[in-house]
Amino acid sequence: MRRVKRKDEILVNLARVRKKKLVEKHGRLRPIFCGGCGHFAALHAIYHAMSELDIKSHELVIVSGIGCSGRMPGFVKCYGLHGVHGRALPVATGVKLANPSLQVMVVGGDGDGLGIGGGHLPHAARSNVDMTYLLLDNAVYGLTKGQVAPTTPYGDKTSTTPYGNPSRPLDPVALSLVHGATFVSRGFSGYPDDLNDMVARGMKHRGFSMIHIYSPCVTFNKNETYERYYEISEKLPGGRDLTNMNEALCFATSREKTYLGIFYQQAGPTLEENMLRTIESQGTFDDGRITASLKEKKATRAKKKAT
Amino acid sequence: MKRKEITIQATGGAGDGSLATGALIARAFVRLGYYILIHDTFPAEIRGFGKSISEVRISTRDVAAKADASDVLIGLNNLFAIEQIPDLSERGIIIYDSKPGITVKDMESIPNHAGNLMSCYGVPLEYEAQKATGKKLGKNVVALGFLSKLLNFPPAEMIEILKELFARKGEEVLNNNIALFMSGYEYEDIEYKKIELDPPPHAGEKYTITSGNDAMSTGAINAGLAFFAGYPITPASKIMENLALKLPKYGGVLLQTEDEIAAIGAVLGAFYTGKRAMTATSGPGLSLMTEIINLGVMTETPMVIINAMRGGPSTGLPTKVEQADLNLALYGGHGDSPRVVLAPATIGECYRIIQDALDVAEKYQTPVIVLSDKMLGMSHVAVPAGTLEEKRASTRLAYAGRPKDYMRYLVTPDGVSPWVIPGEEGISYTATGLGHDEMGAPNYDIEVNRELAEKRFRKFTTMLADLPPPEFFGDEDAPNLIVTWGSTFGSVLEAVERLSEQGYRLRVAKVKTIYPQHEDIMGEALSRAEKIIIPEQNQFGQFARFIKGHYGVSADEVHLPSGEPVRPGDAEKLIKGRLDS
Repeated sequence: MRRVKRKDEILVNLARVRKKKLVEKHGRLRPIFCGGCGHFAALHAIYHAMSELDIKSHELVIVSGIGCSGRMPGFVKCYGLHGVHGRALPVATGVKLANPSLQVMVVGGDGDGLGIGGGHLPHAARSNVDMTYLLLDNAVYGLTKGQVAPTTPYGDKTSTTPYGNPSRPLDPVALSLVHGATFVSRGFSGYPDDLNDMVARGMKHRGFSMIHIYSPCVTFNKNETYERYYEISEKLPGGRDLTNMNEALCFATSREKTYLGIFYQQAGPTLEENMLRTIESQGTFDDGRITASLKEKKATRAKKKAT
Repeated sequence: MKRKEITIQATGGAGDGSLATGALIARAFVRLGYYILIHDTFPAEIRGFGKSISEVRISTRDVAAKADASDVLIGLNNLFAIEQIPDLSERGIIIYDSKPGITVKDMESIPNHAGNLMSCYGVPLEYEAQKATGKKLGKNVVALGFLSKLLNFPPAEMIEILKELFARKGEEVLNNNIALFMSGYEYEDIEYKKIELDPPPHAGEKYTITSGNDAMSTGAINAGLAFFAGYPITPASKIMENLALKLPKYGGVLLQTEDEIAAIGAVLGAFYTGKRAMTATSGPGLSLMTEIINLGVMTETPMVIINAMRGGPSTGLPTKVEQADLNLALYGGHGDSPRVVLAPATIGECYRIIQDALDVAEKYQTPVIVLSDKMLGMSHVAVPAGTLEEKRASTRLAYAGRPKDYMRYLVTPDGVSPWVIPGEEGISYTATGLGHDEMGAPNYDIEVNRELAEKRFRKFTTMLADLPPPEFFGDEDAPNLIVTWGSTFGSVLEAVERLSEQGYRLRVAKVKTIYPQHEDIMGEALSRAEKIIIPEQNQFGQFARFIKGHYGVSADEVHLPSGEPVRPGDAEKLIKGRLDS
């Protein structure tokens, strides 16, 4: 006789299946982050987005620079490129342009992306190359044990600013907006469900997606803690027109509150689309050196649909 | 008496068209079947009062160096022409712009500055141009007409060339140019001293004029280049401009990045996906690229970097010639960071060497630096049509085993690990600049890292079979061995030919693969020599020190003068000094 499953049993099973799906996305290496590190939430959001959007491991390339967050590609089952400090964006641009059929993600910290690599953000954003950029911001240089970072608030004491940070912090959200990123959002590791959703939406977006994530460093930053971010942040109001740049800038530059959520999203031609269009119109002798992989992917998709 | 060769120099200020004059002369003689070498000199500034010089060497044999002196000087600007008179041979000819009816001290002084045996022909170039077309422009074409008369050059041939060049600019422009040319050709029929050349060596055969930059662009496209990223810099920009136009036609992508670091980063990213990618730069750019080149070494990601050397250090002399980036190419990176360094010695070799570079980079998963220079990159020669057509295909070592057994950095006897690229199903790995094990996982164990480092070095022995070995010229059993590299080879070889005629016994080695070294071949040649002389265009003796250190031999360094391409006469004098010491 078949036993009828109880509702809670079904839910437990469902959770098991979901967990298994996520575990399949785990890389070969175990995360090296400290217990409580904000980066765990970001890592989980990547697993979640892969599962949600059905992104195959072999189709995802994660490029990173140096810092605790730089180790992220190794913890995800995908193709990873853990490069030099600050240069993940141009490297990822090369990956995407050379093989547009790949899904490309960049993971980096505030020092990597706004300090040493700050010069690359405007250009990745303005060219609207299709990639998702997770900027994990803990307002400190964590891997080198607690020096001042480009996003450290004014006056904060760190090991290299023992008398208080003399400079004001950079705001990656406002920067990305004015540089022309077509998806700009801010998440917080303290709200993991929102973050999961945000990363999935960012990866779905065609174009340059900036996802600024408050990801507290529990070991070397005693100022910018979970508690503090809970206190200063507020979720953006719902039902907004996401294509309204003026409004997005107002929220981004607000002095009263630090807003979380999607500030701006706009469709537009991406860098690789423009390049492919040029090849299409000019490519008299095109032998598929760039387009072959794209065509192959389309063909396999069509085949799968047919069967 | 008929001559074996002649060198014509055109000089003027911005907008005078001296470089165009040189190009036209060269085109005309290639059409007749002669070899040529054009070398242009121009200021680093775009506008202003800088002097431009185009020097065309026309010869009955293939030449790879500038001549010692010019035989004809076309002065499109008289002040600049006076400065160039010391470049002329003893019995040189000067064509300058005389102005009928006007007596200007500077104009008159051209014959005064000229040597006793020189001939000076004052042709009212600007006046004739105005008479022919109503405009002051085009005095260089008038001068070309006059020169054609001196050289007995058939005017019909030249008009054909003008048609080729100007037809698409409209009938008026073409007719004006023909009128300008004829006004010079028919200018005064007094008796001139005519110059006669030996008959052309390859009359009737088709030859193409190319620069090293052009040859490298075409070579890379024909070798399957899919991606190019770069940042503008003299004298390498022309490669990026060529490819911007042509690469999309072959289905490739070109990206101008925000700086050289981004350029080499994008190249690394593109080659990481298995697509052939390269960049081109000059000294300051290569300095910026060193960190990511090192990442290519550690992650075993191929990349090709063309470095067109210019005068340094720092911003230095952007439009001048020097062979001083060898140390940076060889050693520019922290840690044990081996990379392939190739150097073409002639413009004709540029096509092949860039294809070799791409093949070796992909097959052995390593950065390759190709050291060109301003002389090779921006000078022009004629090569047989068809030499720029060879094609190359992918050389990647694919993986055939089970996905779960795959190891990105598998230690193999030849050092080369099978290379799976993103997009291949069932496999995942992270390429990292951190010390890592065979799987690619970060690993700080000394034994593991030593094994991996040895593997990376081992590739450099294996790849020798695919790299161009040194070539030898001259007397095989000579006691004196001259070892050369890069663009100075041409003038050194000519110097050696002259010295051999004087009774010296000399052998020349041309080294195209600087690292790794073909040790068996070079070692044998070096050990047989009683005296080794290493001439190069830098003050450090960078190549000499490398060879001396590598082989433990003693050798005489010859520091050739920097700035301009080395003239054979200078090389001859300096090498002779070493031979006699």
